[in-house]
Amino acid sequence: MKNRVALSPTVLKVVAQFSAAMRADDGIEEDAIDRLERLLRQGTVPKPDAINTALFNSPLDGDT
Amino acid sequence: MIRIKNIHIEEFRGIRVLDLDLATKNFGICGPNGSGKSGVVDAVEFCITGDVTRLSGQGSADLSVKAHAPHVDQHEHPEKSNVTITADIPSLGKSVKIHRSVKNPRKVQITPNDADVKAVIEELQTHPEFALSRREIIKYIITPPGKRSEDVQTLLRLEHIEKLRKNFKTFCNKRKSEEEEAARSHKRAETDLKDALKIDKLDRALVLEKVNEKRKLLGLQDLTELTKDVSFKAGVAAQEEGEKKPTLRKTTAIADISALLSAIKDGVPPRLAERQQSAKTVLQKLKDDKNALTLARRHGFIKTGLDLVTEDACPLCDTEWNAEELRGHLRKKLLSAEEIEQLLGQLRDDIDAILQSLSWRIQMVKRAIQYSQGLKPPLEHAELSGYLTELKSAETALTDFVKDNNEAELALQAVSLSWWSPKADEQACINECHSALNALPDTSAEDEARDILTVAQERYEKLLAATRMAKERKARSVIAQKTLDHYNSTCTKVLEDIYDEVAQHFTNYYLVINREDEDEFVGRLKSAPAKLSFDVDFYGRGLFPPGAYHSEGHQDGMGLCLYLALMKHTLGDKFTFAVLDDVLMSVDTGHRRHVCRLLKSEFPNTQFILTTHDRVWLQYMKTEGLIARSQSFAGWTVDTGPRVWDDHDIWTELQNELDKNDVPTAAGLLRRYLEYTANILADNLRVRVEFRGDGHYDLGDLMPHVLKEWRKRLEDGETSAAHWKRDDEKNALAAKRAKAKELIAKTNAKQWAINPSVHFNQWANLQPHEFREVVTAFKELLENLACENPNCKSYLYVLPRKGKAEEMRCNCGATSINLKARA
Repeated sequence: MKNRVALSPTVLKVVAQFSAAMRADDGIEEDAIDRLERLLRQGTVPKPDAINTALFNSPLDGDT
Repeated sequence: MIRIKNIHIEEFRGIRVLDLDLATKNFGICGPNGSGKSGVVDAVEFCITGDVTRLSGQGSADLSVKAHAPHVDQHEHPEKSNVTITADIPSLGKSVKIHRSVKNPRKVQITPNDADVKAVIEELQTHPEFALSRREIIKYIITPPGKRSEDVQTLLRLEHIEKLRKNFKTFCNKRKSEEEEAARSHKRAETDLKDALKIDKLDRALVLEKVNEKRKLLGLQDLTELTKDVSFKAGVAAQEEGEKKPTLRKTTAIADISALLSAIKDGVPPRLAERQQSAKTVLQKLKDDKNALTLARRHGFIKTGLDLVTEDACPLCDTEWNAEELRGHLRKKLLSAEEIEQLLGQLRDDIDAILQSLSWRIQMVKRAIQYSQGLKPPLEHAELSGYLTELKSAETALTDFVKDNNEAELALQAVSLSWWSPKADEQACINECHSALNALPDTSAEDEARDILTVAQERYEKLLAATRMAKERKARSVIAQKTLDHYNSTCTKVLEDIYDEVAQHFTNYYLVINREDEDEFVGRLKSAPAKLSFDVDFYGRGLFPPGAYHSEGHQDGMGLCLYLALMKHTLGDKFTFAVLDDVLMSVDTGHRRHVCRLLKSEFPNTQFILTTHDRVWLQYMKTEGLIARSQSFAGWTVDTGPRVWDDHDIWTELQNELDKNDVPTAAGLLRRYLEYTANILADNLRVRVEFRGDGHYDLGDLMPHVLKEWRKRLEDGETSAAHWKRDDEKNALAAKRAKAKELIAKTNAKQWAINPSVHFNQWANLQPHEFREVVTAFKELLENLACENPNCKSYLYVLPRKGKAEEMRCNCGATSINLKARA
């Protein structure tokens, strides 16, 4: 398991504003944005496949 | 973050054993070059991070912490090399002991090992920039924009943002690639249905017309609508039980193979030939340009190289070069990012068209193999299988290239293949299959109609599935692109805001230091893809890179200010600790006090550990109240490490030595302290001495002049007080001057200062009670030169620092002697 560190305030700011921009976009499902935001707030940079899963597939497991 | 109380160092770098008592306050470490100051910085960095930048940075390939962090005499015993730091954690209200041994640099002992304490130390480990040398700080100022962007982003912890951007980009590319693949499958499915029904275009009415034509032959009712659930075979009698499903249907199979043969015979379609040629040209261009894709990836590196070529020699190794020639060479190598993007876009379109034809050909060859196998007896098709493998390899090479733009060589081979015309033996297989199919017994019109409806139904269902897939993939691709766009625009905005804020703080800090000479100074950070330019005002003449016109001293100041602005942004209230290793060596005297004020006023909650080789600079830090404690290193030997002594309680230390009747030790201590103090007093009082180019002045060079100047300044004060008719002040100063004369006589300073070695020995030979008198005399004499306020006790200094002396004052302001006799 990779080490996770607390995200810096700057990263958190980017995640918050990015999520807001996504939510303002009618073409993207709210649930998908929720899953993606949860993923981005974890301590590691998510891999492309994890981003795909968050946006298009089922919700991620609790520990991912 | 932490505030350090104590540092204990054993057998580390140039240090044997050393204890530093910081008491969570700002702390100064002073000593000449090579006296072991940076060893302390290394020790702090090591204890907290397990690393020593000096042993792991550029040009240190053969160095390692484990092998070279221990003292040279212990390099085979890393277990003896240890550092322990005790510190407070203000945010938790707890204390912590951090211990690390070079034997196992990755393992840190934290006591207490509470989760919250551990979290603080782990976070600190991720900020190794709490300890920086001048060389590291100046890199933010004078490096090329590309490198600065990396360095600043690293310090601001923005690499996470950049990695995430890359992953979003990869994710987006994959979805785009899937979208394109699904579109090709859809196109193939359309073609298949058209071939089955022998129609030229896919039109609902035309499909229904053809289907109903066949149904009519079977006496079935017309279909009226082409829905997704429609069955072309509705009403066709089900196959009888036990009747084997035909492996091939003659009409459809002949139609397929005929289409394949016809396509081969007609030769490469002109449009495909154009696409192939276009793709080949672009791929060849990329390949010929020393693999321009690699260059494109190294775009930033080459740009950095261009930025570095400003003079006629390499800034790293000083090898001479012709700057103009080299710049021309680099420009030739440099394909602009825009050009590469355009080329890749064009290439992507070309490859997509090629893949469209290629996948259709693959499908047709697969069917030829399938029909060859279905004939009785089956036909030999090894050559066709070989052809199929070749086609699939080309398809894989092209789809892989589209995904990641790697392996241009394979893609070039793929587009260069003359796969359209099969080899003779492959062609023979196809011909043989076609002949064998034609030789099959003819079927009735009804059977043919039934076969066509069955195949059309299969292909229609595949087309529906391919349509759904294409729509879904396109929708995902659109969302992926939107996600990437939203992320990019968010990052740009956030970064611009950050850079604006950092630039504003930088400007404010710089003005604290330089307002007197640059009151309209501004600094600007401007972000562009892969670079961060930094421009500063130069005396109102415009904005220029810091290295363009500003002096080294100003650049040092800018380095510190930018570092502080970046740390303030990154850590905010958590910026409670920083080690600055000789970072302001080029800042001149006039600006040093301002630097002290900047650190004190803007960062009152940050514990600074500052090293300097300049004793006067150290004294400024003290008189300005920046540092409360300090440690001076008098010299260093490989056997003993730095020779150190505390100056904050020198008289107690002397008393302790005398209580032990150790006159030689006490004599040495007093001697070094007086040498140190004479330097400070000479600077404070603006004493004139015989100039020495090496800047080395011994006690005899300074102390007699210091004491003479002191009496002179007091006399000037008396004259001024008399001029302004302030008799009380005049009398007090006269008394002070008389006392000074008496104390100077008592120390016999003039006599012993002439020959340091002789008098050093003479002191060492004194009896304890005799030397105690010497100590007392010097203590009283130095008190005479200092403020009488017990909370201040700073040595008086003359203002201004240059020009006509106007005032002699202490740090707290309780003592202020007017030196001006006239307004």
